[in-house]
Amino acid sequence: MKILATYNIKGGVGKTAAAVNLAYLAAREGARTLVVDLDPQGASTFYFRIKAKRKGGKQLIQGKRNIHTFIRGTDYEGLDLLRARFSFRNMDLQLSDFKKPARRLARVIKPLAKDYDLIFLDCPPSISLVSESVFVAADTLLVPTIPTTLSVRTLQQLGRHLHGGGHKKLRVRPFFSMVDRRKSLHRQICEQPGDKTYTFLETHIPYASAVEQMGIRRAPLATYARSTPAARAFEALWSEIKEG
Amino acid sequence: MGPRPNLPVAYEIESETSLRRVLKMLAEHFPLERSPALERHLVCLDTFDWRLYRADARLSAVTRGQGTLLRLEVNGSWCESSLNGSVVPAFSWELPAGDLHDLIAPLIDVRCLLPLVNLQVREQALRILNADQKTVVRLTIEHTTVTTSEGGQPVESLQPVLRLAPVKGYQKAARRVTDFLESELKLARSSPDPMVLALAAIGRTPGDRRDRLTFELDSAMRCDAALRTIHRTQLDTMRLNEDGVRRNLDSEFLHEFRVAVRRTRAALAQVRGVYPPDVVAHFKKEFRWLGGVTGPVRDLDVYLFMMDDYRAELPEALGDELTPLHEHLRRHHRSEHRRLVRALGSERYQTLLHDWQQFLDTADECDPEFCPNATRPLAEVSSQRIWKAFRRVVSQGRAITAETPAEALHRLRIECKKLRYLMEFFRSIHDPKQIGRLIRALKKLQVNLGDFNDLEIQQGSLERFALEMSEEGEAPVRCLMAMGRLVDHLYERQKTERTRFSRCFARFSTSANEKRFRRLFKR
Repeated sequence: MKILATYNIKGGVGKTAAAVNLAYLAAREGARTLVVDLDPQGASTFYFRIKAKRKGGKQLIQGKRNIHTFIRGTDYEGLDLLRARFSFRNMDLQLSDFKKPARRLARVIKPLAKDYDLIFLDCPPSISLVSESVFVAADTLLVPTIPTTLSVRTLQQLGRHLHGGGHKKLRVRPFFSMVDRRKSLHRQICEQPGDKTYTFLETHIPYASAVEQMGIRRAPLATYARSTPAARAFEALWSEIKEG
Repeated sequence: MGPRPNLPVAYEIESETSLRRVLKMLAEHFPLERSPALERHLVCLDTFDWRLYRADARLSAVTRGQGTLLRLEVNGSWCESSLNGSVVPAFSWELPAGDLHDLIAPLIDVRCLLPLVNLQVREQALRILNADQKTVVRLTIEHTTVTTSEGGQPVESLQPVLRLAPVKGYQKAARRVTDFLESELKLARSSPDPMVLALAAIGRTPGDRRDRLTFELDSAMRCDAALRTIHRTQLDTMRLNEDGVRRNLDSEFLHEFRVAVRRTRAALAQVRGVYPPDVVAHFKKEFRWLGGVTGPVRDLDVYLFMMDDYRAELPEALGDELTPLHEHLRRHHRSEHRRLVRALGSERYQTLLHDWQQFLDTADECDPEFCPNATRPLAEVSSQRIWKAFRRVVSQGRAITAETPAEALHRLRIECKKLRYLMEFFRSIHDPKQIGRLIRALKKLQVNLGDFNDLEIQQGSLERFALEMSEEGEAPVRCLMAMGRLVDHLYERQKTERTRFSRCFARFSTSANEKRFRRLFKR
């Protein structure tokens, strides 16, 4: 089982769009795939037309209930979702009850290894105990980054933090997201990110209304706008990630 | 592997009319969305001896539109692998790398995949939605037609099947639908297996190629009747595999065929005084001939399989030098196979099988003077024979020391073989656990003796191939050198096997094993 997390300290950078679309593509190829919606806002849960719940976050972290009862099948074969709970907003507190709080999340999802080939953790923004747990649990951190100076700076901050925190096994793979080719700054930063810590994936996800439509369609991009540049970009991104 | 939906359910529906009614009623009670129907063509595949079916696996080549893919289903899970083009691989080593290959390869080993039956499937997906337009239950309607080939004539249409797959976390919705189907529409659950149904339509039953020694004997039955049963099953095996041998589909057909010939000969020679002596003498001679004419191709099969091992045993730079040998083996395999096909078409072979069948089918009473054992109870005769064979193995084995010439080990190997055949023939009249344990113990000794013998034969064969290649003017010096190194290597390994013999034999001839043999077979 491989665990990929879509993460960024900043919000609104395309984490959920990446998690939902990449997971859909993986499942379409036959991988048993699970999206874990860790964000109390429940955006990926909403995209899959599943109702987010209010309570239950504590039970999940404490492991008092079979983890499978938190999971719902999506409209797509081989793709399931661990749906968001509004109470995930308190996950920091719940984790801190444990002796080794940063390792707790990894332990909670470990039993899923025999049922899934791939798990996507869709993370809430900010840097907290939850994100620490994600750094421990995940094999790869996919970091959608808007090509602006501040975003690249945030990525550097993340890099320093991870380096200091001893997350040496975690692979960090940033990619440019919400790229607007009309903006010269976007073009410039995409060409020369100026950050030497990480190599960016080559694929850029464009800023596109088709992606925004996901909120209305409540479905992965490839199901309703297959031939748009954005959908193609997600396909290219997925093959790049798979190649390793 | 792909997803395993929790508890998928299927219903076989009597007719098109009732299917239409079911769909109408469903649409009236649940928000239903239909997807366009998809057509696909399926070829079910398995080995001649049903290795996949026996492992509860179903393999099919699925053609949908342009592409063909292989789909493997095991216990409700599945995995797929796309093919380049529409040619379906026959052997595990031709399968594309991946999960599917890794699951199938150990099951089918060296056997080839044969097409069993063709299916044309029209599949329509239906989804039951909730208020958010979210799928909560998946349904599929399958119309399956058995055809002669892809795009060929329809043979028979199977009953339409309605399948229901619950979506994880929406079990309540699934239960509402199954309750409706079962109590309102009076449908009964079933678990149709399209491959099994389609095979039935063309008059076949999966698993109909049985193992070679699965007959049941009775300890009180007459010895001649038992021996005829054994011989009949071996003759059936020869007949069953004959076509595969002729067409050279895979090497196992010939192997099975030869095992049946050897077993036939062993039963003739080892259970004496049952058939008339002139009959025994005649058929022994004829089956020896059949064993002989089928030998060269089998040998070449084995050496062709050995090529990878040979390459691996040499330093990397020399491994490639063996290519001319590989070519030589392949060419000779082709010509020897032609010769074998001629032998199987010969009058001698046809007469042999015909006469043998006739002898086995006519249970003439034999003169007790010549056939003293014919009417004796099976248990008595067989145990006597096994005990005697065991005693011989033990006494010959004990006489072997480090100085004894290799010839004695070969003789012992033959004696072990005889004992093994006898124990296997009469296995069904003994306690399976006890005799199984003794057979396993014997097997271990046989592996040592067999390896020792094989390694010697291989050295001789490689030398012979080298001579043949020189005579045929296709022996590059480097290839001959590589073969020489191989012979050295095999010689060293043979010496190791020789030193292992005393340990292997001691493990077999323990007093505990002797006691077990005595208890089971001493009369």
